[in-house]
Amino acid sequence: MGRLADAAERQRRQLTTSSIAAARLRMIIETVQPGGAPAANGDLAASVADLIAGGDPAVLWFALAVLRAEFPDVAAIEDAQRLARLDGPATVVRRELAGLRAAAWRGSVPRVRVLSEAVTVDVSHTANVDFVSGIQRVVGETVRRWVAEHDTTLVGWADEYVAFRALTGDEYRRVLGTAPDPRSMVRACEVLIPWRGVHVLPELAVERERTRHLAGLARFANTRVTAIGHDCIPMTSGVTVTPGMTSNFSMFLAAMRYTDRIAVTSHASAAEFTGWRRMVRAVGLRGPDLAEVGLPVQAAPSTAEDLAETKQRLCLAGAPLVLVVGSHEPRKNHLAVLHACELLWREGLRFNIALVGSGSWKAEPFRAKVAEGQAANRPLDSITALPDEQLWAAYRLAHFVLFPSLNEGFGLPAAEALACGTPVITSRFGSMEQIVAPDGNPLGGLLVDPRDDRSIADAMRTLLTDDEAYARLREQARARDLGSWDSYAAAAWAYLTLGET
Amino acid sequence: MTAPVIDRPALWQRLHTVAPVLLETVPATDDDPFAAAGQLLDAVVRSVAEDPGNGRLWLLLIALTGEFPTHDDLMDVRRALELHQGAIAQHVLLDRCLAMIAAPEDTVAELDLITDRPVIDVDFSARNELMTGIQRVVRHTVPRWLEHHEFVLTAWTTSRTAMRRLDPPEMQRVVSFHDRADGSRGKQVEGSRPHRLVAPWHVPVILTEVPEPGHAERLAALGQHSGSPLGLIGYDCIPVVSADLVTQHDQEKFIAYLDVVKFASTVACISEPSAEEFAGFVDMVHPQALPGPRVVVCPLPTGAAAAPGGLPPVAANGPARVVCVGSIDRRKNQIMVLEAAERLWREGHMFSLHFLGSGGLPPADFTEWLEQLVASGRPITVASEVSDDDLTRAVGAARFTAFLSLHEGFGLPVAESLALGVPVLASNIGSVRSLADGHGGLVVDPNDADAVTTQMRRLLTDDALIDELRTLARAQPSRSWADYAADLWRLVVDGAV
Repeated sequence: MGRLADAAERQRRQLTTSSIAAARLRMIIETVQPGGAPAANGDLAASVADLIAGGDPAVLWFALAVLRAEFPDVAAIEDAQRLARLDGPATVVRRELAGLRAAAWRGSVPRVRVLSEAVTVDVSHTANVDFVSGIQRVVGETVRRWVAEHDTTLVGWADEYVAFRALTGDEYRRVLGTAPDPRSMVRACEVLIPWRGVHVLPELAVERERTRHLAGLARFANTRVTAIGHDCIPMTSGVTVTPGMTSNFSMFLAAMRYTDRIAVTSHASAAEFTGWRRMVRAVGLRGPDLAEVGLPVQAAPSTAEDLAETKQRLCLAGAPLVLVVGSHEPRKNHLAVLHACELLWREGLRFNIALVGSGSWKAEPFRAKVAEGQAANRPLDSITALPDEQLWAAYRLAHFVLFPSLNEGFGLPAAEALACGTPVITSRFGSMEQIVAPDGNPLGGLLVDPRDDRSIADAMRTLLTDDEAYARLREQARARDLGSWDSYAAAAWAYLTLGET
Repeated sequence: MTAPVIDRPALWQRLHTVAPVLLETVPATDDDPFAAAGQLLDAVVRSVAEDPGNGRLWLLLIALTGEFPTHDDLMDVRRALELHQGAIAQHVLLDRCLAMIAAPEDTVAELDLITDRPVIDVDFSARNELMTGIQRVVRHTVPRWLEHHEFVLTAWTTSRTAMRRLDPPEMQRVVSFHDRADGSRGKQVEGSRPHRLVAPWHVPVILTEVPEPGHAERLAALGQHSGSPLGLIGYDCIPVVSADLVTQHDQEKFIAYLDVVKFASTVACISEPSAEEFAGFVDMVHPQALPGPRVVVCPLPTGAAAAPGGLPPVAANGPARVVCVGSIDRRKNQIMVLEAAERLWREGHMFSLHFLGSGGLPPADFTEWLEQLVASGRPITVASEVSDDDLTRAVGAARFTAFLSLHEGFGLPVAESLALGVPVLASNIGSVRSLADGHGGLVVDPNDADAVTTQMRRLLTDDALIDELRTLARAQPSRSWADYAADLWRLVVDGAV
């Protein structure tokens, strides 16, 4: 009885296994050669071997991706090419089928679906984190508009970042703020293999498995890969990022070598990516095209209630509020800010300072200084979590915003302050300078040397004591137009999917 | 409390050493070093608090802690000195110093202040027996400098917190690597501790290697704050351009090093393409309003004078020998040589293949395939610990060498093969192309297996081609290690002042 059941099970599995293999082979043939001649003797494997024999690495990448339900990385492609050259393409197909049969025999193989000539957008990180950093804000605002206006497939990565998959409902909600149209949902357990598409990476990808598989896709597949280039800070200010980030970022850059286009977000990130591409070209690679698509900032409105609540929480009667926004990491230069404040308090100036930002790497000296100041009764507050509505209200309530960061790809808090009509003190170089002085003349803010605490203190003193200068800056800030997400999303789409600038 | 962390006599010695450059007039002090240390401390702290710039605070912290400060240490102390005066400032300063000491055992070391000659850092080459490309450059260059210049050689303390003098075995590893008595080889002697510390004072500091991450941060602070110009040898930027070809450790080490590059004054690169890489990085830091280092080219030796042992090539008898020099790893792309060789063996060509080189991370697919081919009787040998003489003999006896690396700063094996008059099948990438093309090499896309096989077939079968390439190799202009050493000194030492 048991033996009969075993035999029946084995037969069932064999049937399933061969039908999965046949379906995958058919999928390759029908995609690569739609309407082509039917396979000789119905030998699907031989037909796929013939397609590979053509020598197009994109066909080999696609065939391996479909048969493995996993994007082949660079080493896998080179290995298969070598096997094809030495022992013939049929050997490659045979080896892949043996792997597929073994996996199918063991039980579960994912369903595979081909995305032909589609635009895929990789939001796997943004879809899985609850915090909103500058990059997540850009991704959310941009992707929401792309999805509304274009035929776009949002994707994440399956399992260990081996291939694309559709987003789950929760992930959609996190990225777009709304539930997806159920008809547009594909099952998240399906593996998606792109063919002749465009793949857009609007966020930073630093997971090593992700960049490894992305590199194979960008280098060998016939899907063009494009990206938004936020910054190269892990390379240009390596000491300021968390351990492990530098090497992971190197792998991201290694994958970016084979992309078609990168839309950089500011003059500063343009200089960084252009310098990196110069390095890449020194080794004879072409590297991606680059174009600056400057980020916009639009302030969200604040209700009277938001303002009242936030005032209650952050402001002191009779003392102007100095607002600092940014995670507590060394690059944001908070120790210089606290020292400049101490110098001014000792001069007898009255103001209180609120530092809003999540805790981060190497935040201990910052926390110690905050504790020291508070113990000395300095009007000083560190807030690690502030809801978005209160943050916007804080920008409006602040006398000025202080953002003397040492390196930024964009410098969102400086731009957000101006968008609220609030003057800002920020660094006199890079993207921060570009935000305050787009045409060379500062409008709505003062520029300082962030490596010189006295320079920061001098600018603060001006905004705290010189009413005339302050009024002028406030007026300038109110008049600033920092662009709209609609026009950014449109420009980014045109460049990343069509190459139009 | 256990033993005192700052040892007073050593502290006195160090304060006494730095006082003349930090003070206009050094005050008279008691004979008792304990009392004198207190008196000097008072004078020096007062003076540095008034003017901490131009390396003054940097040097004071070395005198107080026996360690090179990091940027964060410096900024912290600088701010503290701005907020406190007099005796309290002194107290706060000592308090901060106690907190920042990473290796209490180094606080008993004495200090030499170097004010009149360059300081040349040779940390890794001094402490290790390894002989890769970088150590080869260091061990060829420093002995030639010794003939003409005075300078101080340094390594870093065991805790990686300060520069120190070399001990005799370390000195030999750098200046007379091949002429040492056998007994002194292979020993990882740390010498007596504590070593004497070395603090450069407004003299050029030359970093000849890529430092370990442990002390890169302190080197960056030296470049940024010490007032001493920092000169570097720029080898390559492989870990950030071709990260997929190196280990994660190398990626992290290199980005830590880039922070040193950022604050250096000169980078002398070993080839034009390497200079392009470093210039690209300098472009990348401009948005931080940093000038970055001046990037110059100082090419490594080529031509007959670059031959490692200077032995004449041995005439080849019997089947052709193909030699492949370099550590075996994915970047060096030896698997492509193996493939081309296997295809040509299958075609019936007769030759043997020899891999020479130590280190590296042999990729699993290469090792596995190599074993299969050897088992099936293919004439392949692999030798890892090869002396310079053996290397020269092996290359000299080759019909040609193969070097299909995917990314190099220079390509010493190409230069050395051509120096011996032996043709090279070389990558058409960056510096390797410029070394080989037109100088006795055939260049080929190292990712194109068919092209590699075709060119290798030509080299195996076409005697006229080999003769022509041999002639070209012998005719190439010669640049010696002495030329390299002289140019490098001019560019990074003289150029720094």
